[in-house]
Amino acid sequence: MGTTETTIYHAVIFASLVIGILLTYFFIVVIHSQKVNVGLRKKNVLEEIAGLEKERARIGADFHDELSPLLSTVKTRINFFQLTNAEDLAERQQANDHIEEVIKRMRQISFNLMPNTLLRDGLIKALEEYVEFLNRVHRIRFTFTATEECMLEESKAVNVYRIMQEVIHNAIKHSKASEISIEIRDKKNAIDIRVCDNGCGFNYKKKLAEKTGIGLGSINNRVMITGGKMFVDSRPQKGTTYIFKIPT
Amino acid sequence: MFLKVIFSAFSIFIAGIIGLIRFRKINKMYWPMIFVVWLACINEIISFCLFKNNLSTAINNNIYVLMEAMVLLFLFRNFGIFNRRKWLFWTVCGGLAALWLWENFIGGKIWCISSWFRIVSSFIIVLTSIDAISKLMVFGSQEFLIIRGRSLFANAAFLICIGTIIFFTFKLLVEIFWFYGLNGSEIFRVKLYDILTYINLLVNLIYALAVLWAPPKQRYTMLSFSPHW
Repeated sequence: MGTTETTIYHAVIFASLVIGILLTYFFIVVIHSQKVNVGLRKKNVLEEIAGLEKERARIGADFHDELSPLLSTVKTRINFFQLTNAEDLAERQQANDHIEEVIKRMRQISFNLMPNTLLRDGLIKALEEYVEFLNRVHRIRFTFTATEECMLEESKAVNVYRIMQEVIHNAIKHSKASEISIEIRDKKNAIDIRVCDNGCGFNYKKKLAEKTGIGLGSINNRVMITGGKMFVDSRPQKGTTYIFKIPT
Repeated sequence: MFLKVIFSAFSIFIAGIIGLIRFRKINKMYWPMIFVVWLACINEIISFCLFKNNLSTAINNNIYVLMEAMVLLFLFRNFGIFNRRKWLFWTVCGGLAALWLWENFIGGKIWCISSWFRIVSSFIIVLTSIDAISKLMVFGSQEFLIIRGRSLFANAAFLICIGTIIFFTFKLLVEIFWFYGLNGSEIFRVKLYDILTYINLLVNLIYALAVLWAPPKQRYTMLSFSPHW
């Protein structure tokens, strides 16, 4: 190479090096920002969900511990009246039935808000109880199979329980399924959850993009904060299968 | 060609006039940007007068590049780029000032163009601009006092960063070529300056938009946000 070519060559090398450093720095900054962004989003969702759970637990406890005993007292006091008239007796029986219905409904709401079994006996027992309840009140046939132990910390267990509630609620509301099966397997360092229904299915990507309901978004957020993964297989008229992998 | 260069150089006056009108309304955080624009306006006038009298513009340009780099670094400090590393800001400013002094008074002469300073300062400004854009993407309106819901192209901080990245990256390349003595070829020099003219015009218009959309002063500050309480 001649002198001029050598100079141009060196100038180009130097310029490329500088541009290379700037581009590398740019990519590092973009990756770092992305990490910070994800962290912030996770923190926000976590705080939001923690607040929501706390509030649910408080409302559930208020229902269970304050209103239910109060209604039971009202019922007892009504029954103290010495009534002889047949019409009054019938009226009292009707009032008793209504109070009984209100207490029952309040227990259901309180159970949905924060099942005591979940905190006391863990996720598997709580889901068993939930499925039992669903089988009682719905025409759909629910089946539940699970391994004996499920080593999940309390906050993760609450999130998994909420995910299950949301998935089952979606299936009941939209799928027109006649059978829904829930399967939980405790694997090494993770639990696998599979929820299948034989309903009409849906287009997952389309539904998620539409952002019409908060259901799928809420499931995604809860899966994200547990550090897990979610897979959805759904085709029109072929049912829906949700698979969750939650690290223990 | 001459008219094109003059038009491009004096396009900074659009931003300068907008800055003059809006100065009292703009949040103090963005004042360094106005100072940079005014410095550029003054430098263009001085350069034009010197050029008309067939005198070298190297001295005023050497002083201008030092002031421009310092004020831009102050702007980026206001954006919170050096929040976690306050020492870095003073180290960079001190380092650049030392380099400028060495290049203009010890290693070289002030009436010659100081290439090293231009290369290093341009490089640092591009790096800090990249940092500022990333911060803007993460923390958005909170730290940059940008009005929520506005498009990114009506975002003063974003426009400033884009402007500085475009201008100083090209300037960096040109300075590297000059450093290697490639300005010996007149055709090459004219062609590069031709590109620089268009880039300068584009960046001056971006700066004008940035000054126009710079956020206004906060009317009041909530107690919990004030660091002095």
